[in-house]
Amino acid sequence: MTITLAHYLVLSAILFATSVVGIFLNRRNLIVLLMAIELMLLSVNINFLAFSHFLGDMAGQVFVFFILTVAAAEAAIGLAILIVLFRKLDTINAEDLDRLKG
Amino acid sequence: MLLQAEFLSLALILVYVGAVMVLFLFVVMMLDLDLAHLRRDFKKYLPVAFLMGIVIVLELAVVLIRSFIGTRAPVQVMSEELASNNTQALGKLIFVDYVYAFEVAGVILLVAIIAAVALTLRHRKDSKTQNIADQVAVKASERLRIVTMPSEMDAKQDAEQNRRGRQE
Repeated sequence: MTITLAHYLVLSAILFATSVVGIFLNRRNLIVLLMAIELMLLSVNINFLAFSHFLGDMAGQVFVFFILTVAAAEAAIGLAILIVLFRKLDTINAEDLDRLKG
Repeated sequence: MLLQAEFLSLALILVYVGAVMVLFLFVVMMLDLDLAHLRRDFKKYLPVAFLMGIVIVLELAVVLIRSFIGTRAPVQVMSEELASNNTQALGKLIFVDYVYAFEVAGVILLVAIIAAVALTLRHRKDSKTQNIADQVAVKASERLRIVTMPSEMDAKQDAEQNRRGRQE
């Protein structure tokens, strides 16, 4: 049995659903929310790679590169904000963060 | 093998294991968390969330398999030379066709570095530090005061008196 494009797309869908379930279950824990967002970006990357291969167009791999850059930057800034929040409020519970002026 | 994306297969592993995972580990290590409080209701919502995940996967799988099951063999649009050397092909594409986007990606990373450092840097009030600029710009008049006063005893007389005092 040969691996077709649909297999890669279903694998990516499974990763995406995993991260959605992770957000559902851990919606208080900001760290796990950030991890789940990283997983979503990774599943999008798998989609890009699979289409790049099966359509014979290298541009998809370039976009994976850019998504990777943005994901790394997002993780760095997100965790920095998380540390500032924890220093100020002593919590990373998303339900406690309900004021605009921290 | 590897969908003919050898460079990205290694780059993704290096970035996620070397950078993102270490970043998350450091943050988890630094924060003193009350996990029991954060995990409450975890069990209650587990079946619902699991069911929802399965439903999402099934829906997506039905649509994707019906649409793309026919796409079997990869179409060889890439030339033989490019297909055999993935890193070279990717480099040509990034530095020729997508060079502006590449520069923007570099700027994004720079902004991320500066933002992360600026957000988490804090100056402690209770630690003593040197101010180098003040030290360099100091004048002699700020450190040394010359006082005019009348001379007291001779040094020799002084030493004599000390010796006598010790003998007694």
